[in-house]
Amino acid sequence: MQSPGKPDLVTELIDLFLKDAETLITALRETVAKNDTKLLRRVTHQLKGSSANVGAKRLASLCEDLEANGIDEGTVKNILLDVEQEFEQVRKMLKTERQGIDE
Amino acid sequence: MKILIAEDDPTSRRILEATLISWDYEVIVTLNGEQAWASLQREDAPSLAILDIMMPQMDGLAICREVRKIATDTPPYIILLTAMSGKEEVVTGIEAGANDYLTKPFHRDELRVRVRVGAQMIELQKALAERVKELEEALSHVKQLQGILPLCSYCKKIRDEGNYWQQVESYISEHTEAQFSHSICPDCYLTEVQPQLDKLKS
Repeated sequence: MQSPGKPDLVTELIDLFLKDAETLITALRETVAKNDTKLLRRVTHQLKGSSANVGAKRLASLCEDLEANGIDEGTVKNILLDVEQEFEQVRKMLKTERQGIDE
Repeated sequence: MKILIAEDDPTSRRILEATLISWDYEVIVTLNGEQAWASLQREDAPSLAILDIMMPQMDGLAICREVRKIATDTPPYIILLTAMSGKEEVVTGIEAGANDYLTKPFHRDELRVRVRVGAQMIELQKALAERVKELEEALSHVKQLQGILPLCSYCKKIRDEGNYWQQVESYISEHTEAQFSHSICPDCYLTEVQPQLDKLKS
């Protein structure tokens, strides 16, 4: 789908996802800190959707757990840690993928 | 054909947009429910809308309900996008007025065929609306006679709305699309024509 002068769609999607996911994870930390169940559900739902789009299945599944658990302080904080770690893995993989396209 | 997208997730939105454009659809991108609803109220509104079910403020379900309140012969075809696998949400969506749904992340070929079904429905609906309009126009031109017509028992003239007694022929011509061709029935031939012919011969 690449055309001259335009960034490759996959590169564009990786950039979009990483930017969006970073914002969502920051929001996630804040909602957990504030015990805002409603917002937590919305943010995890969004992160679940965008993770699934780029094939980050484990991250999507962790978000689903978080969405299902709502605010149960101990569990939520543990899952949040898993989400952050998994996102780091995803970020590394996607950056490698992106470099491969750029080269 | 114009397709509206309403999706707050940037990656889903971009994938949808790029995919639909690659199939030569004209795509209108909106980032939330309010923008989508505004676009659907325009005179040149897109005929097919793909709406995320879960969006802040105005969600896909609310848009469906509002859209279905509009009285029109050509309502938009709505496909809801859902990230949930639960069937309850699908039922709620279709009850709210959606025509179809897709689960995210969507399958490219599934999107293609579902959009195509939508396009076929829209064409069918448009053709049907045009046909109904044509028939309504035709019907408005049809004149018809109804009720009781006062007819003279002797000369067979008909009394019209203006209280004038008219010949049957001119009355019918004025009040209907019927036209007359002139001929002679066998009875009249015997009583009227034959005597005149006999008279000429003699």
